Amino acid sequence: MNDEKTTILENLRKAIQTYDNNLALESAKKAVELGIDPLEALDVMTVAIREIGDAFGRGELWLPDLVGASDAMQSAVPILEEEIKRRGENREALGIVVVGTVFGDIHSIGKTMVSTLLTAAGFEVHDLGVNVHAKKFVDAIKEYNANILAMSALMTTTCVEQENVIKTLINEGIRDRVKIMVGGAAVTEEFAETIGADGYDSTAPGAVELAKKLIGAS
Amino acid sequence: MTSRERILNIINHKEADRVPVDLGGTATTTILAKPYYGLLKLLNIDKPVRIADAMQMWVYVDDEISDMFHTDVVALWPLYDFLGVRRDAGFKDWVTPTGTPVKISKDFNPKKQEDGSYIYEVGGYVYKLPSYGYYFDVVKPAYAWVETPEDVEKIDYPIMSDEEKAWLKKNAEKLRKESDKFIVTDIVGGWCDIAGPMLGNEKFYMDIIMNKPMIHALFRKLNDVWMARIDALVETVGDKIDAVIMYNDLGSNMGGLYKTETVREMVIPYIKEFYDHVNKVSNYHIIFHSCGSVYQYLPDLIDAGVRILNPVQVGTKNMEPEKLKKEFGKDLVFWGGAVDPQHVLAFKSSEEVSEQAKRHMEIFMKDGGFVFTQPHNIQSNVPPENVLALYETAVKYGKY
Repeated sequence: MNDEKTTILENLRKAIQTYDNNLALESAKKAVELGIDPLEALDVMTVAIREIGDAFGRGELWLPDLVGASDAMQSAVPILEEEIKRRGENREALGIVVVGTVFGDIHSIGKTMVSTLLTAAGFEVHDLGVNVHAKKFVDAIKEYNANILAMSALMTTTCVEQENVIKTLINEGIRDRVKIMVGGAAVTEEFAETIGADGYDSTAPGAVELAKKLIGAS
Repeated sequence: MTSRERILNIINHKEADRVPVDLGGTATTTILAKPYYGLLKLLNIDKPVRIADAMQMWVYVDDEISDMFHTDVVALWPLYDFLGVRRDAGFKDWVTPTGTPVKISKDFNPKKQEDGSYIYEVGGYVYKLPSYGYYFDVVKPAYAWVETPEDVEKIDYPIMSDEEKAWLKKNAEKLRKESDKFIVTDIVGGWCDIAGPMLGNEKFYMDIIMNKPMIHALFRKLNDVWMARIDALVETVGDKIDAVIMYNDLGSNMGGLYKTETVREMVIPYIKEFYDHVNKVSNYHIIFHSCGSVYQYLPDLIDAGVRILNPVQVGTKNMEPEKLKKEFGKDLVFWGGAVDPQHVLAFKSSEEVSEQAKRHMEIFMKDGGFVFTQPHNIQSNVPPENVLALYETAVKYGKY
């Protein structure tokens, strides 16, 4: 068991490092079959993807690397999370984040990377996908009792929708329940301040550090 | 000095009577329906907004605007737009999801969804225009199934139909006869910009580092098509056009999307082969389009033959006008870069737009090598006053 366990955990790490979706998926399944603690398996991948994110932040790796590691991670996470749930275990989350690309915008790559890296960092993430209405953000914040809202917008024409979401949160009386972080190609620090967001970062790894900072976990 | 002579002068890094101007001459130097509608209203020009491309909803720029802004470039549009909509079908009335009344091709027949969005299906692709959106984006790429070089062989990529040739020939002759402007066509293609939507951008980002044999096979195939299209253009329109534009997005806000070595290995050889071919069989100039920060790739691109860069996305990392002109001004013509589109044109005052455009022009125009235009198409949230301020700056201060 120990040798086999070591191999499986090593393969999970390798799957992230080599962007191998199949290896990630198969290793996650084997980990469950073998009764390996899913939290331990998740931790191994978390460390690996954090290293990729850090290297991206330092300019040593590139977008394809981050997309690749992110994809591999996504192949394995649902299987391990299912097992965590089945065992009735709890992954102690740093915080609960609702993530989405705003209404009118259907770009997903950056948003999904932020989701993946936040998950990897230990946040409980609820990714609402793309083209998300303000009301849907509001409902999700209430439903999951989130303490962070992370919104993405790729275009100069859709980043204004982030402001609309914030206004909706104010109208619904839940603005103060969440820290709001915004990102996306068209968003800037200055814009984030103007619309009343709590934080902005230009990269997915940077978004993780920001999320930690916003909830006092860094 | 005619418009064409003006552009040829500055392409040869010589100063002209004034800085040449482009608005509406290419698919990446034009303006979307909403700000154009506002511009026509602002100037009291009583004309409908005619859509030239249904994917991004950019327009045919009217003569009144071209004359007012002294534009020097005109497009030879292909028969089909980027969404595969015919340009010869006549116009019908339509209102964009965000409320701009337009005239659009009768061949444009999207499926309206219950949530107010539109779906357009063509050639195996599915495109979606959200109910509060401005453009159609690919939501289902046609070639996501391509995994091997053998799969690439199964892709049927047309060169140029007889119908298209006849359309181009007729319109190129008309343009050359009726206009003294520099004529650009975008019938040919590109590299990353074409392969990305074909496979799905996320898959392409991965495959370019993880599935190199397939990407090489794809670029090989595409390059053969592009070169054959150049041959067809030479045969069909000859010297009735002046340039082609090639699409190859490599940059992001923060720098390149890919490692320099990846681009050098996977893309540059095909660019070089294409440029060598064009230079061998024609006198066409090539406008090389890549959004974002491309600074890190410029030495390799110049080695491959790139001489005209568009859209020169100032405001991204390492794309400051001073730096670009100083380091690459002898080798490159900057076709764009008049104003920062993400931080200034859309969001600042007309005075600030004008001020920045004047400063950028003064830097870029020295010794030729600059065509005044904004980086990429003017987006839907740009106030018409800012469009006016931008182009009036060229008219007012563009003299050599």
